[in-house]
Amino acid sequence: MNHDDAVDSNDFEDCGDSGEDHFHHTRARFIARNDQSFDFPAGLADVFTRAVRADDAICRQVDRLLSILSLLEPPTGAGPSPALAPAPSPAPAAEHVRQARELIIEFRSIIAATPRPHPDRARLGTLLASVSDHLESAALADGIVLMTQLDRIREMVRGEHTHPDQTNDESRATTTRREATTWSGGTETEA
Amino acid sequence: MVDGSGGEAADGAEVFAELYRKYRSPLVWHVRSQGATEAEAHDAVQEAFAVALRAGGIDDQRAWYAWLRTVSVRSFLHARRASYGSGQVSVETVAPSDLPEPAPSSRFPVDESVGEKLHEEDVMRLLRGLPARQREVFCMHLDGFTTPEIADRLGIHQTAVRQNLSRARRLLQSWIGEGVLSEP
Repeated sequence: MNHDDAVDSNDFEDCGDSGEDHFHHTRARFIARNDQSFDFPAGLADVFTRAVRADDAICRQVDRLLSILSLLEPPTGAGPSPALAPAPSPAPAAEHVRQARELIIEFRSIIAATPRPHPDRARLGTLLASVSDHLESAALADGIVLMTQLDRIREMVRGEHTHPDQTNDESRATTTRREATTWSGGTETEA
Repeated sequence: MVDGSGGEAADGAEVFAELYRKYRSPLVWHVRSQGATEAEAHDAVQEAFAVALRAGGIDDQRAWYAWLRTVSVRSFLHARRASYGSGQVSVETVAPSDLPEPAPSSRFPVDESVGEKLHEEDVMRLLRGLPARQREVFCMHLDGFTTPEIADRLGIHQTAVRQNLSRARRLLQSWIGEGVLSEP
C-alpha cells in the first residue's frame, strides 16, 4: 500500500507532515514490536481451534434436524394393533424419511471427523438451518396431527379416553412434548 | 490465492498463514485505536481470522484486509457490549514477566520499550478522540488506503474523504501542539 497515493496534499490545507509522521512511525513501531514478540504458530493454532469450535454449532444443527426427522417418522413397535389403525402412512414416505435421517447421520460423522474447517461450512450451516426450519414447519403442520390421531387410537386400545376438559390444543401440546424427546444424544428412544 | 478447493488445500493453508503473519499486527493496532485493550484487540482479531477461515476464498487480498478490519472491530464491539451486559468490566493487566527488570545502577530505570508503549498509548488516545468519521478516514489513510479506496469502502465522495482527512489532521496537529504527546 502506498502512502504517497493516499491523499493529494494540494487538495487540503497542509497542516504539517511532521505531525502525521508521529502516527505513521508509532504505528510502524507498534506493528514491528508486535510481530517480534507474538507467537505466530500458537496464534494460528488458536485461529483454527476457534474456527473448528464453530463447527460444533453445525453439529448441533444436524442434531436438531435429526430430532425433527424423528417427528416425521412414524413410531415402530409400540403402535396400535393393525385392525384399529387408520389407513397406514404410505410406506415409501416413511422409508424416504428413514433414509434421509441415515444420510444426515453420515453427513454429521463426516463433519465431525474433518480435521480442519471446510471453507463452505458457513454456507452449510445456513442451509441446514433453513432445512430444519422447513421440516419443523412441516412437522408442526402435519406430523403432530398424525401423532395426535395415533395417540387417540392408543387410548382406545387401552380403554382410556381424553378428559372432556382437555382441549385438542392441550392434547397436541402433550404429544409435541413427548415426541420432541424421541431423539436424544444420537440414540433413539421409545416415545 | 486461497480458493478453498480440496486439491489446493495445503497451498491455501500456507497462504492463510502468510496473510495471518502480514495482517495480524496491523489489525491489532486498528482495533486498539478504536478503544480496545490489548487483550480485547487480540481476541477480536483472532475471531476475525477464524471467521475468515470459515468463510473461505481470498480473491483480493486488499479487499480481504479491509473486510478483516471491519469484522475485527465488530467483534470487539460485540464482545464489549456482551461484557457490559453481563456486568463484567474489562481490565487490562500486565503480566509480571512483562515488567522491566530494575537496573542496579539506577534508582529510576527507564526501559526504552516502556517509553515507546507510553507514546503509543498517547497516540491511540488522540485517535480515539477524533470524531468517528474522521477517525475512520484517518486510520484507513494510516493503513495505506488511497482516497478513492477509502471513498469506495465508506460509500462517500472523495471530496468528503479529503475534508475529513484535513479536519482530522488539523485537530491532531492542534493537540500535538498542546504537548499531549510524550517523548517516544
